[in-house]
Amino acid sequence: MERFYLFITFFFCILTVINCTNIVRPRGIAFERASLYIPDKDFSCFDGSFIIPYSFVNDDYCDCPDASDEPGTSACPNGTFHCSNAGHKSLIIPSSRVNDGICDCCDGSDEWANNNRKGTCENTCEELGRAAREEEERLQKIFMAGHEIRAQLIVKGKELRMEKQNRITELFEQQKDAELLKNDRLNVKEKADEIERSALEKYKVMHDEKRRQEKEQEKLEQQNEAFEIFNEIDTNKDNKIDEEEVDAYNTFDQNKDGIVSQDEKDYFMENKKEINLEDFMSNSWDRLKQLIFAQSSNLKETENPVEEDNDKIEEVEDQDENDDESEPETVEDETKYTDAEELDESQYDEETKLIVENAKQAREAFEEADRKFRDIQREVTHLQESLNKDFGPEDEFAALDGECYELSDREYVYKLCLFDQITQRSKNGGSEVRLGTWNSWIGEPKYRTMLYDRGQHCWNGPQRSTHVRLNCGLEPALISATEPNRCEYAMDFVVPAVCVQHNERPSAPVTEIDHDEL
Amino acid sequence: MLLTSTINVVLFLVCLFGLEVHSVDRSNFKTCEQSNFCKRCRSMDKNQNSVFELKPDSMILTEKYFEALILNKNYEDVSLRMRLDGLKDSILRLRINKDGYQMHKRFQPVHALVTEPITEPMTMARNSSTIELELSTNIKMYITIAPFKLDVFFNNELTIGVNHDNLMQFEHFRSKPESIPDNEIGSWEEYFKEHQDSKPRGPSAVAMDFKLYTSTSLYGLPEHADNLALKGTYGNEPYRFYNLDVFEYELYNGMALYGAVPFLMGHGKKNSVGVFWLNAAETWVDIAGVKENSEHTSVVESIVNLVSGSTAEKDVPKAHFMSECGIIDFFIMLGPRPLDVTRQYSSLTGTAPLPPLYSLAYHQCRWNYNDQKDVHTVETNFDVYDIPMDVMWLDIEYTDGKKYFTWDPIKFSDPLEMVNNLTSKGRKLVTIIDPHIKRDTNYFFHNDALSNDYYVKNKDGNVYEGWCWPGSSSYLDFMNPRAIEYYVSRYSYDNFVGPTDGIAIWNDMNEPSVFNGPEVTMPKDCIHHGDLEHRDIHNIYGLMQVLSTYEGLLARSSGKKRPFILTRSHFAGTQRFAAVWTGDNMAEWSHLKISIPMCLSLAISGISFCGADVGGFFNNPDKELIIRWYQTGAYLPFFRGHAHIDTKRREPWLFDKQTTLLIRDAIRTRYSLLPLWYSIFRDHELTGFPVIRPLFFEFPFEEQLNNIDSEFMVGNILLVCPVLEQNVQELTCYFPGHEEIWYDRDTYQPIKTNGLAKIQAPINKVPVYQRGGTIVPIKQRVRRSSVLMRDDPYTLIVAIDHKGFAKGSLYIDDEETFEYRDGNFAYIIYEYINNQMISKCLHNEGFNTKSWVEKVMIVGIPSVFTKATVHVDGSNSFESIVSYNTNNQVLTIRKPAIGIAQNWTITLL
Repeated sequence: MERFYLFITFFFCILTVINCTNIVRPRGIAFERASLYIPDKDFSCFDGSFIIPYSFVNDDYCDCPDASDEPGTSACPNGTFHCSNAGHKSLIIPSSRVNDGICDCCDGSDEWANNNRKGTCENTCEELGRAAREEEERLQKIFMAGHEIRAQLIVKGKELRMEKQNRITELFEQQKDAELLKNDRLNVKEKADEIERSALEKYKVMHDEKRRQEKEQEKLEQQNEAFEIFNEIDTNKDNKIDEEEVDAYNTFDQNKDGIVSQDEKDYFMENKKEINLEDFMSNSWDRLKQLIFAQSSNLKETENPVEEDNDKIEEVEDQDENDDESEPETVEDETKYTDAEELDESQYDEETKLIVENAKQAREAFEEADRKFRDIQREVTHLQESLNKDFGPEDEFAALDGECYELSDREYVYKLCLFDQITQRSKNGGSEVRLGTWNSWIGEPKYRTMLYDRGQHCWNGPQRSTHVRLNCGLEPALISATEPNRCEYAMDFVVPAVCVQHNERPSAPVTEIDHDEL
Repeated sequence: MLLTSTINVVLFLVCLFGLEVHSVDRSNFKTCEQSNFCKRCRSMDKNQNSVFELKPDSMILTEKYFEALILNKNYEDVSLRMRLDGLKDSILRLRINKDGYQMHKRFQPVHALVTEPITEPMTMARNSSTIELELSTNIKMYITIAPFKLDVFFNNELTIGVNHDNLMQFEHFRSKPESIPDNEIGSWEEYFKEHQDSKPRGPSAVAMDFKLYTSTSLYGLPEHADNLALKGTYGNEPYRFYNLDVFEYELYNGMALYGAVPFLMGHGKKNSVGVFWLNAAETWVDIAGVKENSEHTSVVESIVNLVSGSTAEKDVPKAHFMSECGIIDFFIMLGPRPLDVTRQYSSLTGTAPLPPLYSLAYHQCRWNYNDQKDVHTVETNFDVYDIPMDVMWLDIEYTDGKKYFTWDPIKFSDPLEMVNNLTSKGRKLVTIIDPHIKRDTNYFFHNDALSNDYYVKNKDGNVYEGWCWPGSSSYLDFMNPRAIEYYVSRYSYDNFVGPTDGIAIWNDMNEPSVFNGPEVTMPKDCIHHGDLEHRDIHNIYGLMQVLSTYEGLLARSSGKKRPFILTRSHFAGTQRFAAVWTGDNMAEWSHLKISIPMCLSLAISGISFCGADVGGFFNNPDKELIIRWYQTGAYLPFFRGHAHIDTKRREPWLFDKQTTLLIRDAIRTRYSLLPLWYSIFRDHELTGFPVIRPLFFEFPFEEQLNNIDSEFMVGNILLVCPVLEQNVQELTCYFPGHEEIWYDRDTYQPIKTNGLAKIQAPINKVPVYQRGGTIVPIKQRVRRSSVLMRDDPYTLIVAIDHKGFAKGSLYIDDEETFEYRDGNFAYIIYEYINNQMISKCLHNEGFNTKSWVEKVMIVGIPSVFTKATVHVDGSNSFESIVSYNTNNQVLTIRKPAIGIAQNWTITLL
């Protein structure tokens, strides 16, 4: 049985060696390489290791370590099989795919031993070839159109670059002028400030004197009040306050039990029997003042408790706002305006008013010049950063700088802003998550994969990052977004800027490996 | 101790430098002290006579068994019934249960046994103090009446002593006392962390000690992440059996892991024996009297340790089994050789049925392949890089919200199409099905289970709720036959996926894992069908799930196709239903190394079909580690790459080119050797011999081998000495035997000196040797998947021994159905003798194969032959060309082209 089966196998071998043009070509060999197999001569393995009878070629036994004797069978573990696929593209597959029951070649040539059995591989090359050609044409069209758009993009990119450079040159000029102006106005401002300061000097002296007088007045009033209270308590007018007098004065009854207790007395009297006026003024009055104040505010509280509560809440809110708002500003305000603000402008004479007004104008003028200067500086930096970005060898990506494209899937909306950043927003709400910030082009071929990294940290994981693969397409569009590894995203983006070579299929690593082994 | 302190130092350093490192949180798991029954049993005094003695005049010997009553001196009204069976093939069984009425049922995990063992008659003689039983001329037993002890004699030598240390215990059920004395509080209630165990039935522990007089080393007791040879537990924790989901388990200790096989093997030069403690409750085993072995031994260290003999002189190896409940039920296997012991044990718990061939090929897994497109891309890339692969795996994310038996409607919208894409290339899909069920009122399974009362209950009789992947979950009660029936029906084509046998099943989390339960599992006072407490059945829960899945898959194909199931939890007998992997390991060299003793321990304990996650589950392996792991994993029975969801992708092509090529080589070598693996698995099914074996199994008289667990054998044929450490260019391997020749599988160069030898092992070298005297059938044409290689021709590699002799065998069938059980297979034996290679097909009825012999290589013979005559039975002779390679002394017979299932002779001339 088995021998018979092998005989059939042989028979097939012999049949297929002869094809219609009478050129001998062993199975599994490309037309161009047929001349390496000469039927009436012994066969020498390509690596020179062995010389074998020609009948050993394609006899389903691996004689050559380099697999060169078995191009048409699965005998050599490291061999390859060539299918012509007439009507479609030829293909090289590993020998292990010959006669394994799976149709790998559209002409079915890889399944030659099984073709008389059920599940025969039909020749689908014509059909597939047509489809492939149509697809090729379609891609070709896209490529052609894309290539044109790309050319426009290049022009635009170059224009943009030129514009930016021109603008920078222009800005440099403006910057010079602006700096001069700024410096001039700084001088003017400083002088005006100086004049203002000396003009205000006398007002300041006056002001200080007034403050001093006010304080003295205040002190005097306090003393009077203390004296009045002393006298009020000192009912026997012996210029001393004794315990009995304290007992009688109900302000000392802190706990409001109707009695001034010993503790309460001791607190006020500092364990003394009596207090003279001098002691009262220097020590006791301070303590008593607090009690009197507390008494009056307690009264207020019971009168209007609700209002008080509201006030408190507002106070808290105010504090919060203050925390949020930039504190430095208030500090700045203080340093700038303390002197001048405390002064009462209405008291200035006409001349002083003029001087102050002048100084104010000089300051405003300087600030305006300074702002202008800094605006220019900022624009220059921005332009330079932009010029330093790698927009491709021909600036074909320049026009896309900062352009944003969105893609929405079941759960998220992804937003790719080219040369800027990528974000993800959950459809169920929640804040935007940054999947990366533009870093650079990576990988080979160049200008096909963008890296956006330094995104938000994953919980218990790395910072998010995204690879964006670019392919040729007429309209820029984000077409897929996946997360193959935790927190490492992959996106596909089509754009005319990469319509350079339309046949960008991944190289076949299988053949690479096989080359290595040869 | 040293290890622990080292680890502490390392942990401290790691914390100091802020690196991320994980290790098990030991405080999540009980110590013996924290498990009250263990504390009680362990504190028994071996110097105090046992309270148990035989009741005079209660002994009976029937045709089938010996029976007697045992009295407890402390409780006059309590008597126990002891029954001793003599079984076929040198096995004894002893059972002790309460005699008469008991307040509660005591559970017996009979599902572990493949059938009711067959008893053999014994003879009895007695005097006033002793009973003598004889099972066969070489097996005698002496029972001491008071206190009860059993001596087992093999070949007239005391081999095993039972209760020699007076540690037997049998706590009978009793009424809860009105006031519980302080020292008994733990018997009636126990707290662990925030969990209460209400213990409504009180104490019911059982225990027994065994002395293995003729052994020098002890083995078995899986699953523990420890060396193959067991270590003494004095001053340490006993080996613990309590199936648990241990997060990032620690190595080299006796902490409980996912599985429990209470099987102990004793081995010495005189003989080898086994003890099988059939109990499914929490069990602890104290070990003593064994030679101490340091932890991370290399081959050299293990031998040095042995010679220097850091042993406590005349100590007899012994084991003390302590279980929380159940009955005393144990088997003693008397070998006398290691292979005999495993065979005897397998005759009790069964062998692994011949797995479908694809399950022995390479499996590709990850938690998770994101969607069906992702699955397709990964599968296709295996073809792009020309790396064979048989099975793609889907972890929990394929489901619709962790509801098993459903599919994510968006990501896996057309599962049948996905499976068909795989099967069109001869590939399969495995999907995960866990035992926790999402409590979701829109989930049919939950509603069915609830309305039909299929769930495990809590102590108050309500459905138990725990927390697992889906969130709030309940657990199917596999102790309920109706729940099993329902489960079986869920696997039918109508209910899951559709008409394809391209799907196999992965049962995970079946300890069961309960995230918020005590020790990450179910509370012991939960109630199962038949008024059993979870405490009674805990260790067999996972087995009951895989048993149900097996039935489901069998029913799905009307009993035609062989099911394939992978399980994490396991018990004695799991081998009849499923393969086992070592759980959630880590991408560290130490975890690669431990995978060998872990699988060897399982293999000698009946569970041969074992593997570890290649690459390590947690964390990211570097390329050297992943290469070495593939090279090693290719020689363990279950071969699967797997990774945690937080790890980087690590499919073989995602490293550099060299890494891809070396991983490809490792996988392709596995495929070429599939005929050998398959034949060994068939042999295992028939004999119970472990598929992978410790060296001492094949060379039981070489004491130096007793502690070696960094090398192993595949069958009795290949010696595997894998590289298990970083940055290795050279390693030391031990080549066992006397006058054994070991042939390098890559170069065919022989190693003829037995003992230690230095081996060059650069990154592309996997040190594997074919034993002289064996014949290995391989398939050199490695294809995309194993199915596509079915009809391919064979190459026979004949490695001669020092007498110029070799033999081997080959088993072939349809690789996927049960038709082989109707005799539809071919079994061929080969012999090389006197310059003749003889093939005898002992059986090939009802099975046709297109495979043929393409090459015969005879390794290790001199260059004296110029041609070969091939004689096929029933036809003429013809000549075949021979060639000889003087460099490695290999003679190749070119293309005899004989059908593989034919009888033939090749004569060298």
